[in-house]
Amino acid sequence: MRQYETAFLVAPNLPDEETEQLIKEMAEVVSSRKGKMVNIDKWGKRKLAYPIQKFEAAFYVFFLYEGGPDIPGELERRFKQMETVIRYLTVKKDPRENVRRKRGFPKRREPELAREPAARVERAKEEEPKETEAPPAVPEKELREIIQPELGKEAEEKIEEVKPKEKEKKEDITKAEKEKEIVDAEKPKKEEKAKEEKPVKEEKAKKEEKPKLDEVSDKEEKAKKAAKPKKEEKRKEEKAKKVEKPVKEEKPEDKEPEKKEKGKETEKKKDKGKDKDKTKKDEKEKDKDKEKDKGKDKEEKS
Amino acid sequence: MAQYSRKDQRGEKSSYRKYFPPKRKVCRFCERSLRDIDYKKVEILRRYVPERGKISPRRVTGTCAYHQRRLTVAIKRARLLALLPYITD
Repeated sequence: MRQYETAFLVAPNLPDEETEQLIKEMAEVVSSRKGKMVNIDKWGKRKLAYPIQKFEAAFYVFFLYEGGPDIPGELERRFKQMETVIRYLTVKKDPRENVRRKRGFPKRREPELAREPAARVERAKEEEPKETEAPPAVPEKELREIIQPELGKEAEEKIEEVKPKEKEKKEDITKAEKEKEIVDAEKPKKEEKAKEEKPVKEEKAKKEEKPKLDEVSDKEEKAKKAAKPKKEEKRKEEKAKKVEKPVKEEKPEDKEPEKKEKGKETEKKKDKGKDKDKTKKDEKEKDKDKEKDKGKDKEEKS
Repeated sequence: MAQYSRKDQRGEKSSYRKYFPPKRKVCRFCERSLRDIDYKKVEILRRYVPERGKISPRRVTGTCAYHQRRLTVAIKRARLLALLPYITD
């Protein structure tokens, strides 16, 4: 059993009674062949987008029915014989079509983006929270798989840092992706640097910092939400710190008291950001150069 | 993903892009997580058929590939039933 939809246009010059009769006849064809009529939709007379057989309007009728393949065949055979039916179209209906997709659509569309408008417009109709929750698992895993073998612990930590931020940023997902990619590109170089330059103690200090960050994070989040762009600054700062650390070893100690003063923290970070702007710029330029070199290499290889 | 790396490689040629990044278009059907596009819903289809009656390309509307395929089929069906014009002058 399959669901079909047959649409046909009845000539407008046919009197109303006769059109009604014709529709009944056709409905009987469906029922006589053990078909189940689901819905008959009559639009009535409607203007055509272009003239058909010199008619400027037509009576639109839509049959939605279930049944074997002989029914649409029979209907169409009759339509052909009748001159009053000026056009017809039969479409197979896939019942799954009307079900909303559970898994996400193309990757670029992140679940958060989907959730907002969909929820606004059609929350009344749809009741599938899974749909939005399911997709994020895949890209994260993939990212991990890509990054982990190459980069090890630091990479993991970074990803973990990025995740909560992502959840907060509903609008800037694409940006986050970009940044991730940039991070991917930059990481190997930076890690090499870091491993060469950083004493072990500093790494330990770092690891201690991060759990503390998580503890504080609840209150920090509010501040973050207030100032979204600052997150990017933060990330850059972190990068900058990594480079600077060998020179200034005091920083990790300085950081901790700052966190306790949660309210003022953001302001201080601003100041820090200003100090490090120069270093950032230098870094960026370097990175750009490197990326360009990479691109050239790729081109040459290809 | 590949798009971004390409942009990076382009570098300073498209410098104005840095300051005015193109607005990201999202597929309207994806937004509503619709799967099927009905040929009877003329008002929806009409958005994708500007004055001339041609089907507007994906790059203009931002429709995803999946739904663009569905959309073209729906528009063609609608044309057959004279719900939409083939051409308009």
